[in-house]
Amino acid sequence: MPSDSVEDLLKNDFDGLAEGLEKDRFAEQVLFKLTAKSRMRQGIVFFAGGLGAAFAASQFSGVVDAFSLQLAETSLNASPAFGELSHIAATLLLAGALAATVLVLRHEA
Amino acid sequence: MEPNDIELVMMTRAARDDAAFAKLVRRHQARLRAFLRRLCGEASLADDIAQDAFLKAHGALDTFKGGGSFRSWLYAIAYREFLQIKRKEKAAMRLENALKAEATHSIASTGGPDAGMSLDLQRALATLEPLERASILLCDAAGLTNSEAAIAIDAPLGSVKTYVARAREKMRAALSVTSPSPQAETAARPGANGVLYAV
Repeated sequence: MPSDSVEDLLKNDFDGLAEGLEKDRFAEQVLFKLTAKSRMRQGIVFFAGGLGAAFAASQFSGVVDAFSLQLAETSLNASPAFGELSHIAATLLLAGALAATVLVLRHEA
Repeated sequence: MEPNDIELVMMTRAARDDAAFAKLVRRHQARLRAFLRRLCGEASLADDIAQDAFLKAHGALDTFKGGGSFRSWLYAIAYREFLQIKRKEKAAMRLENALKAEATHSIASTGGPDAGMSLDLQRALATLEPLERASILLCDAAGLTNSEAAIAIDAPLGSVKTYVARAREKMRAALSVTSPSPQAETAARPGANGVLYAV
């Protein structure tokens, strides 16, 4: 038997086996497992974000009232649009909180 | 141009870029699994080890210093996993059975992980000590350099060279003993890779 036969036999056998393994879905399975943890973390952040948004929305009228009280003490209470100002301020506050949440979620994704 | 392994490691580390790591997985998975399949003789166990190795590599990427190749580092993780599993009694028994099966069962009857592997080659590999087997598979089959193989099995370079040389000798001897007679050759057919398969 020629001295390089063992090497050739092993190499040919190995290359044939590896070639067959290139085509299956092993890599995808590994990558799915790899991202499982981050998917779970994303889910938790989404859930917490949604819960926070729902809670904030339920408090909207309270926030509007709080802004009304604050604005009543300023010179803005003479403005004809005073009634809407507190709504706008409360909406901006919630929009800011929502934007911050979206930033976090984008970073997570 | 495709980024090399080290660049992909840097990208994964710098930006936690899973797409870069995915390229590493796709690039190395087939040959790593082939190595493990030939090492432990059991396809499902080999794939489990390979999967664990990739997950561990991803988690430990910050500890990769870049002194050797990514490939040798990955194979080292896989080989350690293999040894750990081998140490566990239950898994060791499975391995032993698989190795015995390699040497005694025909390709047709197993139809499993080593289907397609020459029976002579299976027998010859089964005659090797574990380190010889790992060394010759890494160097002659998987195409790692001796230095890479030394990192992978955590052995001195000189020892790896010795293991490989000894393994080649043993396999050569085993293959010459089991090489088919002219009559047997007529009852064998060449496979796609030129290896004779029992029929």
